[in-house]
Amino acid sequence: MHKYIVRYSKRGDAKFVSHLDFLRLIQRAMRRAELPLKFSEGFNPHPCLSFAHPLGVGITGERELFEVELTAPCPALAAQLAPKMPRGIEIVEAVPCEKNRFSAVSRAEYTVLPETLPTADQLDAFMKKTEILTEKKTKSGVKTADIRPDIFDARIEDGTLFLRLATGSQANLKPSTVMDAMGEHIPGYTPGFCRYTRLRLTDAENKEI
Amino acid sequence: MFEKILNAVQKPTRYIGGEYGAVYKNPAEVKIRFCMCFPDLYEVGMSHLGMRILYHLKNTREDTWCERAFMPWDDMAAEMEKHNMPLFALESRDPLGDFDMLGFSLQYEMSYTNVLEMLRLARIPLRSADRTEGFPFVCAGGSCAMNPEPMADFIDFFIIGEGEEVNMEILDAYGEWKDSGKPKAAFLETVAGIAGVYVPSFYEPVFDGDRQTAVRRLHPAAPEKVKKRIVEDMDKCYFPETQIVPYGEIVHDRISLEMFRGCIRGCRFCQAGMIYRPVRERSPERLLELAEKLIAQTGYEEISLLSLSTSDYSCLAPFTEKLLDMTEEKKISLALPSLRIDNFSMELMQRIQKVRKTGLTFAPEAGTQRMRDVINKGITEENVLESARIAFAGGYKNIKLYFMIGLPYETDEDVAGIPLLAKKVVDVAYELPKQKGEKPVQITASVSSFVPKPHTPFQWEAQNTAAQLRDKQRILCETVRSKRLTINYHESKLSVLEGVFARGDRRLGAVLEKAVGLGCRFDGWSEHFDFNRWQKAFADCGVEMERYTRARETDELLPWEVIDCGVSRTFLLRERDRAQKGEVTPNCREKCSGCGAAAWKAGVCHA
Repeated sequence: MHKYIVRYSKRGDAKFVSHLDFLRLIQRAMRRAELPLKFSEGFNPHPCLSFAHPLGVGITGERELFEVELTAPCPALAAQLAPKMPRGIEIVEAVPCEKNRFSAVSRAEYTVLPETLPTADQLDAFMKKTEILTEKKTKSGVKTADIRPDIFDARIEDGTLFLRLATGSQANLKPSTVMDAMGEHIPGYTPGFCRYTRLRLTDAENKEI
Repeated sequence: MFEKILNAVQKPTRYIGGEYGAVYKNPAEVKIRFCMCFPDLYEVGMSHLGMRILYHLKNTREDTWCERAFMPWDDMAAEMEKHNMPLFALESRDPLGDFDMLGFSLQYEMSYTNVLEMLRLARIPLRSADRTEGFPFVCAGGSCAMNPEPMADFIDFFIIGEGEEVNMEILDAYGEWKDSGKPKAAFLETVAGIAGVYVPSFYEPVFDGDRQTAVRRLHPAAPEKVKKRIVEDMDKCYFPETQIVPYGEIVHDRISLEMFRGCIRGCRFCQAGMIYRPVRERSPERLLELAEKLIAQTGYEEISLLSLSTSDYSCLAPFTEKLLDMTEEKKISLALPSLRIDNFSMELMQRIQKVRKTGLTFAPEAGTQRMRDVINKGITEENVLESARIAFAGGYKNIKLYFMIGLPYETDEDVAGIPLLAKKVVDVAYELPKQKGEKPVQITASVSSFVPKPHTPFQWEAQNTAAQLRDKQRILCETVRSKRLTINYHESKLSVLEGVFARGDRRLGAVLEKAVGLGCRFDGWSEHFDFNRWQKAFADCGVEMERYTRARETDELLPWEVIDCGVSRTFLLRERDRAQKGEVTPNCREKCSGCGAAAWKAGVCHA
């Protein structure tokens, strides 16, 4: 068994491809690349693939990653896969790996480009709050939750807003929820239409996965 | 702005293009900008094989960039109007008004309103007469073009029959015309002279009451009748070796491999069986070559063999064996739709389900033997039950049965025969030894309402009224009850309207325009269909639907007889006569029935 971690970017209109569609897209791209894929057992055999963490619809991804299992080593994996991708999806690298660290994912770094940035003072005041109650959409409906503990960092850098947010199975916070909360809790501030980019996924020590 | 719009709609990937296999060119380097327009959602249009073929074919030309446009769903249409954005092509995102030519695919009468709505969203005048110099030419093709009259006011020219050759001839002519700098009328005169092209503005129908009595030809370039085009040799005919792979799941999300055109059977209700004659097959060698290339190109995990009747392919067993050798190794599942009940093989089914077990669909079409003979279906009840026995024994749990009500000469007994036959299929499953913990079978009978179609032996018959159809639907539900049997049927009013436009004349153009103005669109979608609006549109125009659903006299000129589909009126009348007597006509391989298609000396007629 030969496992590889593939790192890729998802930019432009490709950001509108949902996670489920993206999974199918990668499976088909793998078949187009004629890789020695390992298939699952059962009536609907599909290539063995797993993603580190789904990327929300409308969010650009710079260093997203998935793991694929092959039946033979494939040193040219990245080169074979790259030309089989649709517009907007680029393969950054593919490296062999014994065991992935996907379960260690606990944070993600984002840049947000809203129509209006908050001022440094506004952001400061927002981050100094001990509690930020806001409405959060979950599978079981809309709930009011304190999102402050899930915001690890928020600062303005080169004209964009940098965010480090809880991500993964333990706690998960979407950048759009943070922007909505800013609009709600910062007096006189409306972010307007926002563009989101996920820069990378990290563990609890901010080390890239 | 576009990004903002996409953020506000469901399924934005319908509108972004950029899929693997989509064709991009530099607009500065092409002479002709063509947009294939499909008057339904992306998911429907992208599933249509004709659209796929013509898209890639036109893009083989260096002088042409062919793009795609679909009907946007309500949310997208509202956002576009809000942001003042006209309907655009997926690839370049240029508005349709900037194109040289738009080509609409007409596959279903109830999508006519969407054609007009797409033009409206593109801010292009609906009527050909109002599209002055500078607006694109609007053409249309597809099976509904076999009666072009209801859409004649809106379409500059129709392409009749198979498009592979004639589309290229039209683009050649367009290139020359564009260089010439002549007015639009000059181009229409040229294309009117191309075989298979119907320019409606060169013809004027004459009416007397309900009837159309004559057609006046207004231009010397216009032929008396327009004969459909066919491709004679399927192996030499263009077929794309690639396919666009959409992001989201579309209706037919798989490789479609076209095995043959036409059908040997000659079911009397079936328009496709008449208008796609003669039967012409692709060789197994060519199909295998295409399959291999398409699998490598697309990465699809499923391949479907396309034709009107898969099991009538002359070398189906050896061909599928070879194809399965290829697909099994690559973990690709094979779908064989349109199997006939009387000739599918158990061994084949067993091999197919090794990779993936899908449901099975059979089409007995009618519930009694008498009725099946009337429509020339040529299968028996024993065929149906034996097929079910084979399928259940092979492990299939779900069988879908297709039927029709509202057929000519139908009695209540024939209607009741539908649920009775479906129940017999259920009983077949009970007769078989049952293993412990085995899932029970589920039979679905899907019952549609018959619509008389142009160029068929039933083109003269009266269509059932909505009330008649509802009575028959009641019989379907009340005859038998079984937990293992589900009976589905269609909205009867929709069928009536479909029939009106199927056998309509040019006077329906005004009704269509009115209906679109009243908000009719996506009429094939139940959440959109609003019969009250249609009634208002007809009333406002002073047109009665009964004019079109009525029985036609055999001495009457039919509005679609300006089109010659290759099958003669004499043959259709002869078949109608045999239907009345319940006589079955042998299939094309058994005996030539002299329909007229032999004039092409192609395919089954040539053998």
